[in-house]
Amino acid sequence: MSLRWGSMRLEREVGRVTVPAQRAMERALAAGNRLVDLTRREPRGQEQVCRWELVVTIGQEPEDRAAAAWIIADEIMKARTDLDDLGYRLWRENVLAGTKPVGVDREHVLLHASPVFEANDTTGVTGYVGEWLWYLLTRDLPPEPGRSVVVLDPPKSAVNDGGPDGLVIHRVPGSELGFVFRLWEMKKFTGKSATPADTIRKAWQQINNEGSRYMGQFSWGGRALAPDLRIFVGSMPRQWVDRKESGNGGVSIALNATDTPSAAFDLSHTHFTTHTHEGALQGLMVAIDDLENFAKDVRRYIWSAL
Amino acid sequence: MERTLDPEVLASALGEYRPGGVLPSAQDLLRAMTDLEIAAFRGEREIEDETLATAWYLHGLAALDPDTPGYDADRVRRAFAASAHLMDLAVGDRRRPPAERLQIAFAAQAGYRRCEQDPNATAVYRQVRGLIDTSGELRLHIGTLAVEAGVVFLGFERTDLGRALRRWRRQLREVRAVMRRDSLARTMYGPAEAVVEAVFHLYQYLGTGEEADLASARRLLVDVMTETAGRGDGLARWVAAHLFQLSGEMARSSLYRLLPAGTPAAVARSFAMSEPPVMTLWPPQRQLLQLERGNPLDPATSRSLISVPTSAGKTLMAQLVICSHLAQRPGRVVYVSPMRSLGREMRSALRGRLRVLGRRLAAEQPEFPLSTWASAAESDGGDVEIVTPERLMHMIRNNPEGALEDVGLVVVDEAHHLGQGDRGFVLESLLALLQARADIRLILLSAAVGNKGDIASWLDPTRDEREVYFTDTWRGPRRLHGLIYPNLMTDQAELTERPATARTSSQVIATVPVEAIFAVRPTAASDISLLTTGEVGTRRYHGRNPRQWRKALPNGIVNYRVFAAGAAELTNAGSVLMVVGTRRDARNAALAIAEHLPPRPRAAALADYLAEALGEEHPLVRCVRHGAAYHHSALPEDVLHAVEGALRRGDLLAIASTSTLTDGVNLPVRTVIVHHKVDGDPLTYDGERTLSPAELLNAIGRAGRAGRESEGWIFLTRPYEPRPAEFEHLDPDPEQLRVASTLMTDEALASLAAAEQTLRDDADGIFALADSAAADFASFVWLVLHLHATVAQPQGHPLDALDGLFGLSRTGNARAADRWYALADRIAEKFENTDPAPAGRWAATGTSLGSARYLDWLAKRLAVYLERWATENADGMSAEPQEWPLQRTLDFLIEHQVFDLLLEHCPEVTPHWAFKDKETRGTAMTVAIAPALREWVSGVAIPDLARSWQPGVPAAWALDQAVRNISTAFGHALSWTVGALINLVNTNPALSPAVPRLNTHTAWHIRHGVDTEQALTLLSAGVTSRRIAHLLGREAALLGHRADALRQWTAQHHIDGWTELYRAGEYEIQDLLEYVRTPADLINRIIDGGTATTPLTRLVPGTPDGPVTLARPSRDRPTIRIVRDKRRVATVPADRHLDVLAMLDSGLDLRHQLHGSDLITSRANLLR
Repeated sequence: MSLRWGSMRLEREVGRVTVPAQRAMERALAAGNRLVDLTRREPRGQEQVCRWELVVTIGQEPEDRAAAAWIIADEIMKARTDLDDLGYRLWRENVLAGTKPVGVDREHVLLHASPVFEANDTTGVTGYVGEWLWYLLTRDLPPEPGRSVVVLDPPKSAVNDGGPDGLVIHRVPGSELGFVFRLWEMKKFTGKSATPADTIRKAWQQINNEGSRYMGQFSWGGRALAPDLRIFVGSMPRQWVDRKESGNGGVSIALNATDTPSAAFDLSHTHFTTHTHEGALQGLMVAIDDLENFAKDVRRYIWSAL
Repeated sequence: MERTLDPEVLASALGEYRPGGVLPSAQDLLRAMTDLEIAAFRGEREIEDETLATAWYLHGLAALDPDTPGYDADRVRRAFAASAHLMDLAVGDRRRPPAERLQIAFAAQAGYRRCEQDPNATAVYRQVRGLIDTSGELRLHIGTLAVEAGVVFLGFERTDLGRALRRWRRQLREVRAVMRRDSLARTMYGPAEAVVEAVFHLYQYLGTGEEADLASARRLLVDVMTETAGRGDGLARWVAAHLFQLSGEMARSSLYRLLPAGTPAAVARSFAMSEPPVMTLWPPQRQLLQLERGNPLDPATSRSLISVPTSAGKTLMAQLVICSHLAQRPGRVVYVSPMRSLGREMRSALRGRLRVLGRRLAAEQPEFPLSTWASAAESDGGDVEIVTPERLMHMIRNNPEGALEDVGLVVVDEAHHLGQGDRGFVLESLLALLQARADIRLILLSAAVGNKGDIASWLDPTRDEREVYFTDTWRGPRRLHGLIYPNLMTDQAELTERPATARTSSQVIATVPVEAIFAVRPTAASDISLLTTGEVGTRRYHGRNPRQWRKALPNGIVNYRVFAAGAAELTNAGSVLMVVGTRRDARNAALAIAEHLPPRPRAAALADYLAEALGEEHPLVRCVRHGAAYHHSALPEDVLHAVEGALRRGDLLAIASTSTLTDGVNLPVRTVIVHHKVDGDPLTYDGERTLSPAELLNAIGRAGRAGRESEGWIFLTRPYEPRPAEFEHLDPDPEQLRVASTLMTDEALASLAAAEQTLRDDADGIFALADSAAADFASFVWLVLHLHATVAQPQGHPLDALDGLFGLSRTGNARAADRWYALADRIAEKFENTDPAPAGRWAATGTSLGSARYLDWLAKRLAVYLERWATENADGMSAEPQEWPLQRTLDFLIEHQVFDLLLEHCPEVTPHWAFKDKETRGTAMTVAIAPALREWVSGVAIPDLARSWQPGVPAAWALDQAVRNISTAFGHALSWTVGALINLVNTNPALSPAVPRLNTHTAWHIRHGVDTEQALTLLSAGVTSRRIAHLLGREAALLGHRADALRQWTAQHHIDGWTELYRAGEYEIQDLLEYVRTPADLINRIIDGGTATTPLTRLVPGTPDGPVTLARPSRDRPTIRIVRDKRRVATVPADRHLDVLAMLDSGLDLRHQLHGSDLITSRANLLR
């Protein structure tokens, strides 16, 4: 079940966010200020080789959608500014007050808001928001018994190089190497071509290609981790090509709610054949009504201070 | 060195193959790689996603922590090598987004550095240079800034790196100002900021060796890896991890760490801070420096041989040996190179190094009059002499004691040339004499040779040969082998019917297009791929059936033109060298290549210079305008120098050169096309010269410019469609690469037999020996006997020194050695029976004994004429002998037909003065040598000489001949013999003390074609242009400026003055700047003392002291300007121009202050 935010559509066409940032922020706070608080995960395909989850939004009102967009915008700016409290404050206070900073303050906000959003390329922004959707939905999951997340990186701040990927490493006491990882391939489906099934198939077929760069870089970048994790991370590509059970794959699809299929990921094991152990494949589908415009809302909240 | 296109290497890198798994099999990967190589050769650079993914997996497989159980360093290195090779091929795939290509580039660079193929990292950088953003706003590429910084750093292109760092650091300062923070740590900009700063510190460390910089860099990189600098920038973490790892390796391969203990830091600085900068060493260079026994950098090592392949960085090794010796031991260094172009290369490279070291390169000195070495304190003296073997031999001949006085080290480069051609014996005999001097260190450098052990044992019989030689198989770029041949495009033939005539029946004429086909085979096991240029011309044949087309009708395209078209095609990928058999072939090939190339603006400066020097209609000028040139020994030195410089800078696209090693091009190119028969070639006809394995290897060694491209291409031409086995010609058997004495060649032994026969009939027969190995041997024996006879306390047998000849000491051909010794005994008998005075004089001329005796006879006659003149003109003479001026000397020599006599009687001169009315089937023309020489010496331009000498002959051909005759006759043969003759006249014991002497610099004037002492000074001091030397020399002579005054007077004009008054071109300006330079040692002063002071000129009056900036020279404003508020306030004077420029290029972060009329420069405060 997904929400219908159809009433927003007309206003969005004139290029304004109908729900002011202040109201969106308040609604987000009221719900818990986390994306997981505004969504629900529904397990699907439990009988399949590749089990998956459908993430749908809970609330019915335009404010709920605005709250979700606000949370993502706010998380992005929090990550970008990090210890630059002044930068974060300048952005947030101006967006919430509906004002625009001037002079050096404007330059300051621009420095943080610019990457991805200044270019205002719909495809790029949608892909970027898709990565953040996956990241926030994964980050804020409740802890699982017997395993804990030790590595989950936020999406890259600025690069748009055609290879959105994600990686989660869990510590699993008692497992062969002490850790397991899942490499995620993320795709968006905006209904403009083919079907979600095609997108899923391509994602599985690409996971080895696209994931190779991510793993190649990550295995090096983990050199300053704790010794046991460092050794694990450094050998991830080796585990992957050796098809160890510590290596797993995942495909995450963000799509328009109206395009949500009833069955999905049922043929994944025929597309991704290198890893066959139990649980090697996992799917995630995030259904958002009018995904591209949702991504534009995120951009508007970030950019409205400029 | 291990190559990656090898199934075993790939299998090791990939690990166990699992069908249906993630990685391909080694065979499949090899196939993909060879396909990519072929595609890259075609200019196609697209790579499949699956293949690129394999590259990334291999990159990741190499990330294995050394603590991991089962870690295998070899396997990791191979994974890096295979990954880097694939990434290198992928980086040119323009379908991929720039951000991805930058990551591919960095992965390739890191991989290459980790598998010890360092120069390829620079080559990769050159492919993505355009993706480095140093002009846009930082916020628009902050996501890739860390990768960009990593890519430009591992490119090690100092100018680019310095520029990028200056720009990015300024932008980061501005970002900090906007954010009102001291550091961007823990913001989105933090990781990239830390990487940029780390790169800056690494760059400083590699330049100055200051450990604090290394520590700062490593701290910053750890901050990125631990996310202390900021989160969310995985690329920065990846880059930082590599740089951190590499920083340790770079530090270990930095000169500051590798030079032997006790070596002053100035030695490392002299390499790190001068052009071309050496920031880290290549693997064989590192190994050399780390040798525990017999290290040639250790002053205690007396004898050493460094034998490594071409493109392993041998020249730099020689420079290291030289600079290290200078810094540790007193005494001068002599660098001997039989390759003139290498000597020129070494001269320009060492000049900068020595400048930082506070030492000097000696100016080139004339052969006659021969002085002892000038000391470094003298204006034309120095600490390092760069000479040919002939030159050093000549010095020893004339002054056995003085020639090697104060010499602590002799470095002989390209020592394997002792087995090469006519000049090989000069080197061999020189080495024999040097071997006798235990007090002088002797370091030989050679290409990889099969019998290095033999050479080492000969060099130092007292030590284990493996302690005497150093060898390594590493070399720079990979090589792709191919064959190129003309192919008839028979299916496109056009048939024309010729109707019958009264004398012939009807005929069919087939006009057939011809294409050049490249047959390419990346590895010996690969399939051969064929690529075509498409039609490059046509040939015509009788008959309609291709089987009838054996003999082409006239006027069709000939083979060399087909290959030239192929060469022109290959210039799209980089410079091309075409190796041909003769000078004429070189010229024709260059002209044919030029026909396929559009005019090249980048070559215009060279073309203009050559047009001034040789005449606009000279064929070289014509082809250079299109970016092609030719290079052979009959072109003037300044022309060769300029052509080599243009090729090095990339101004020229193609060059055709003769194959002779000693006169060939020493520079690397992207592609070498060998259009020459090779040893063992079944196509060779009787007597045709073929390339020896060593010559072929030398040519092959030129393919691939380390640091420019990671792969060189080498093609052998074939006149027909070749068989696959013909690829083997490009892989000579190492056993064939044995250095053998020229005394043991068939030709030499034949000349020995002839000499034996001659001497059997006539004891005086030794004077009839000319132009043969036996003649050269006889001259050397004569010298050995003379040296023994003139030593105060002679020891041993007079002929003992012959034992030092490589050919006689380890010949393996004892019978031949005995015959040479027997010949020596006959010569000794003659020597014994010759008056010691003339015997000594004959030993000193450096010609054959016959010519020496003739010169001595002629000198006696001239002395008599001089005496007679003195008697007739006794009235005006003073008691002191005077030296006649040049013109008076020339008048005297011409009056007594000296030049005609030399032409007639000296076989060394005769063949070098020859003219024909046309090139093909031409008739010999007589050009009187004496008036021609007089015109040449008076500075007449070559085009005017050509017109004067051969009026009515087409200009291009007349110029071609004029240049050849000037180079070979005036430039070498005649100037040498005239010098020897005048020396004999002036020292003739019969000449009364008061009789005037002939001008001692006459030979030097003849060699250079100028008539003032000042012009000679300029030409000896490194100014290569005869034109500018002549113009400046004439004016300075009128004004009476000599020596230092000449230098100051020249400097006062500054660059704009040289341009306006003398129309100086770019080439001439560079030489003049070097000539007028006042050594300033700015970099050392800044590093050691904190500040450097430069006096300024053209100061705008009333300018207050304070901060200023420096504006680099540009085409419109060639001087370095001191600027404040966008206005020029002063100018760097000409004599400081190069040092200030070197300071600006050093990579140091500088700030400048105007203080009075001085510029005060110091290092800017470091950020962290």
